[in-house]
Amino acid sequence: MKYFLSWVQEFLPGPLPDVDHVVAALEQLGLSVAGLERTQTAFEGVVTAQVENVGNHPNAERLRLATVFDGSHRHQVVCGAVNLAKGQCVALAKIGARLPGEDGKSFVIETRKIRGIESCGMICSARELGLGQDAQGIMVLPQDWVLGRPMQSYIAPDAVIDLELPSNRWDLMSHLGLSRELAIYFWRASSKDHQLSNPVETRQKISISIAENALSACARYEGALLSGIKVGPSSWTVSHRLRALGYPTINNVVDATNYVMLELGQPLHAFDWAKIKGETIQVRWAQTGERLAALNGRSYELGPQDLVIADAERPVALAGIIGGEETKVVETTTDVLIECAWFARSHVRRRSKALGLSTESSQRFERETDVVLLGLAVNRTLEILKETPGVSVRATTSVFPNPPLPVRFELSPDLVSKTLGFSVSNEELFSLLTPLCEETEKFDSGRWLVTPKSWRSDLRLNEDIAEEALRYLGFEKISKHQDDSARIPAITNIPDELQWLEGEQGRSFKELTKARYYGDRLVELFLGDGFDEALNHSMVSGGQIEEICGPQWLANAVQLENPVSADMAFVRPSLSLGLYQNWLRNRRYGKGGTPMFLQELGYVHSWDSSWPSQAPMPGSALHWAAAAWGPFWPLHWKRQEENNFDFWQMTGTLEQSLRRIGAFVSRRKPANPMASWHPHFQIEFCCQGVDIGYVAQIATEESLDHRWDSPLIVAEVNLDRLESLLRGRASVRYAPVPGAELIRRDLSVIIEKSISWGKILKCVQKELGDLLEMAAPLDVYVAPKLGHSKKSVAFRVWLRPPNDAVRVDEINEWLARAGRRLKMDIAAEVRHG
Amino acid sequence: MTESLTFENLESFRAQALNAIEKANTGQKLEKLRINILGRKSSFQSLLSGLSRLSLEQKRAQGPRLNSLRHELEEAIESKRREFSRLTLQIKDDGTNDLTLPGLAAPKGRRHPLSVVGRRILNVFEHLGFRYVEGREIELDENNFTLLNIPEDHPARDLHDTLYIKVPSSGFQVPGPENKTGDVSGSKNFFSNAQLGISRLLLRTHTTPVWVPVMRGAKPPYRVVTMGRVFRSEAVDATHLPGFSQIDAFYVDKSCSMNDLTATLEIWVAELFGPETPVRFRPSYFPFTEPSCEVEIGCFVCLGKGCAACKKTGWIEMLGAGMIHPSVIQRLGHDPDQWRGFAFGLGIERVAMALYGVPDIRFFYENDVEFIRQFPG
Ligand SMILES: [Zn+2]
Repeated sequence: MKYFLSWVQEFLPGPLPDVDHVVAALEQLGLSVAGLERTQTAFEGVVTAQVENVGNHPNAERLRLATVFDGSHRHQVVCGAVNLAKGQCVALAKIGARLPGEDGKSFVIETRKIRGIESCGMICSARELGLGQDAQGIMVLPQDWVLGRPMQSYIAPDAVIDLELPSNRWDLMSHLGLSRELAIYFWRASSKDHQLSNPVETRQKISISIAENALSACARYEGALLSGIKVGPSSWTVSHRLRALGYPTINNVVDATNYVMLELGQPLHAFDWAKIKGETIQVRWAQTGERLAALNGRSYELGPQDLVIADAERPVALAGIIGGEETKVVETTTDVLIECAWFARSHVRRRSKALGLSTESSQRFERETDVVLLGLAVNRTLEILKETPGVSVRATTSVFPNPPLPVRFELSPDLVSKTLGFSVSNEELFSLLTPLCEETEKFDSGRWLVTPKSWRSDLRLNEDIAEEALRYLGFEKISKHQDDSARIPAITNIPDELQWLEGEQGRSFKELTKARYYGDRLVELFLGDGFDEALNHSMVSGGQIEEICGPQWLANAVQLENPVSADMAFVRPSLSLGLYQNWLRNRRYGKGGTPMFLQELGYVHSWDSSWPSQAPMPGSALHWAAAAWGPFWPLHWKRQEENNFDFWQMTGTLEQSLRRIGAFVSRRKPANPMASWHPHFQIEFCCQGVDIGYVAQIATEESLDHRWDSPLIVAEVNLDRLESLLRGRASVRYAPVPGAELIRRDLSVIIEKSISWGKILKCVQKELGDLLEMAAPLDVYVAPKLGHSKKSVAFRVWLRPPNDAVRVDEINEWLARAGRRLKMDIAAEVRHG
Repeated sequence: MTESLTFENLESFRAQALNAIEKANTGQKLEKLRINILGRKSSFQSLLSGLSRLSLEQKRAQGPRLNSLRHELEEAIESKRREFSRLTLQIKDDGTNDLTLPGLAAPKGRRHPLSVVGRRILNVFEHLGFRYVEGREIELDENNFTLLNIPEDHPARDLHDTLYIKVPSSGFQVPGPENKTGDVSGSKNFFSNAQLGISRLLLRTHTTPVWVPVMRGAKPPYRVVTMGRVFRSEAVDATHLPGFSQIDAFYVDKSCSMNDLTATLEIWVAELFGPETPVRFRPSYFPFTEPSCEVEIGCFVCLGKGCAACKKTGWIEMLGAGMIHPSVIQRLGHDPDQWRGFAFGLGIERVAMALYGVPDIRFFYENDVEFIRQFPG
């Protein structure tokens, strides 16, 4: 909210220090200064003057010629303002005057020809003088200002401060509210609001009622009826201040209600009494089918959930939100009903949200307003409107059946000091509480009974008072005390149960953390293999899920009720979606030659019933994924060929890395492949028979494009599942380093094409058992001479004999056994290399 | 050396062996020769082991002879080996051995800058005795708001424009055989959250809900830290994203004060940004803490003079903090007269943007390889 410093000053017990000090104070109070406009008199040579005559400009339709009198001389001035009129008192920048420019540099007024006519000076708008934002028309000054006087003698240096308010401090949404805060900060005193006069009482009353069942939503209603109103422009002070704070000036009645709202924080409404039927006001719930044509030009259909202000026949306003078009104050209005009421914040908030209608008034009511202040607000409005001669107050009525009891609570000054970690003396604390509270009673027990002022109903606990003490005393107090008492107390007994607490899906925090630990290990290992770490948004589009994962995944996907946009309407069920998007980006933006190796660690979610979940939550899992595309080795003088990262490099790298974190995996054909996977290049990794992840080549239209002569390979691992499989595994034990040296032999087999390396390996393992240390394929080829159904696989075995005294014939016998097994089990034709 | 070795042809064996050693032109050939001439299965060795079967007189005559021959051959091999070693030190200066040519290595990956910063921050807290726990991204309305002192209609909910989850109609059925009807039709009926009479599901708006299981489950004292994604319904621009990362830490104990909080955070700032970095605390408002404050550090870009990074204020807002609200402590099952706590939370993107001078938060999630590779991860 924006504040005029001079307006705030009106309520203070003494003069404010300069603007910089005020800004510093506000910052310390936790009120962020979002903007500061100094309305210093950044001009010179501007005087008050009277418009004696207005004529047309001979050469320009929109411009006019004015004769302006400054008390001693007459000046001819060309002016384009629409509101220029004979008899006005205006601000005249004479020849030689200096004005603040838009760009911050001042400029000097000179005689110049405008469309052929000489203009000797300028009639200024508020904006041209740096006194406000209004540039629509010239500034019209009060008639009683003496002509020829420098403007400075009427307009004191001032500032408009824009503050970001904490959402719980509704009481600060007025100039009075801010003055209360500054009065405590600078003077430890109350502001001067008590000097505002008390409500006017009249003998005549208006018929106002609040329905019994509406009292919880409208606790108090004050009405005042004025007659003899002449609707017209507002006074200088009112319109100047409203304009400078960015509010439109409408007419003296509406302006007065806005002015009082900005001054005291209480929203008000003015009705044209002549349009109120039956001379009666009822606050009640609307009936189904009732309508209101509102001030914003829209018509609202109402129901029993809407609280309305109604006359004898129909609703005339939506309580606390907006008034009706038919009963608004217009030029012909003479009798005005001023409404000043208290509406429950939860009600206004709900209705304003439901209707999508937020107004200055609803914004204040939905935060909270001060029910005690209402009388003052009415009175202040009457005070302003009565300035015009002929206006009289015909009737006032107050409906306030159940005034709330003041809230009081017991304060323990000791606990305030304990919470803060330094001691605040009782005197210091008491001097702070005095302006904040109606009364503070001290008990012998050392506790105090405090009754906060009505506008500080947020103060209810020792901690609330501790916060106020910090705000008014400043955080430096703490730093000062740090030398002797600052510490982070050692915790000697972090309870063990903390580790085993249930976090998610019935798993303990320890287990959840362990899954992340495995993920971190995988990331670290893959960093070593050249994979950069990526982070993608958790939200994806339905189209992406369907394209990469498939329609069944989309059907199970976690959908948002109110997504930010269509491309963020779902929660990702797989990390591969994001990595695929990353590939599109890295490939598209002219970086076709740059290889992309990315990995990511993050959560995925799904309603798929096979995912572990805890009702009512969807299933969630921590995943790790990687995507690779392009040559793995950089171009290098020692290596001639570039080799594109392929399927086997991914399975190998992943297998090695999983082994490093203790998981030995086997492979099998995936049971539920994703839609975008290559029909052949896809494999599932299993650990103890449970699948924990996959490696697949992505085969979308885009990724198969022949220009990208390199496959896009994706791998993904479910770390939660991996963790559960590795849980409770026996710890590693020492084994003696084998003494005997490894023996290396090559073999080759001719077998049916359909037989996998896995089967060959299984045969050799079965036969040789512990003798076999390792086996690795050297070459796989097909040739016509082998026959069309056969392939040749050459491989090397490493044997570990029990001791070094092994003879060649023993080794040959082992290999022969392996050969016989291969022949028997998979019909292999064996050749020893 | 085809003929078998005897004491008679020993002299010719010597000449042949020495000749072969002299002719050996590679280290490998020399090693093969050594095995052939002197190895365990060599004829020289069998002659040597046959010595024991000879008469004492013969032993006396042949023993020293064989030994001196062995020494001589060993010496010859060793001297030849040294010759080879010296040779490898002599490199032809033909320009092909240019040592400034690039070395060969598989490239190493880089960590994401947010991950680097997040881990650095966590590291400091873990050193201060905070235990890491893992929260969840989808939360109950109750844990995210109500239990943290943010009831429905509370104005603070405006700060958290929340993304809610659609709940499928089958989502709340008790899992049992009758529900395993093999519904693979692909279409699920959805209830809107409002239709459900129970706590709504949402994407957590902060990492603070992790207080709930910890405080409900275990008796203080404890120090806990968590890190993760949080979500707000915000339009995407240079400083806002609907999803970003937070770190949240809290400490509950019998004596615990604002003073301890500021001390902890000053240590944290000194560890992360350097001991000379100025810190200031300003009052603030969070529904779940009272008193609440905001922590700002002196702008390290302009050193307090004012620049774009600090919006000309000389200060950069780092985190929100405060004493855990007594009613939150009570709701989560502990006596607020006995236990008090402090807590703080911060956005990792904000720290990373300040630390590296990244002007646009969106860059972090585009995963341009050339962006990621700029950082020292
Ligand atoms: Zn700066």
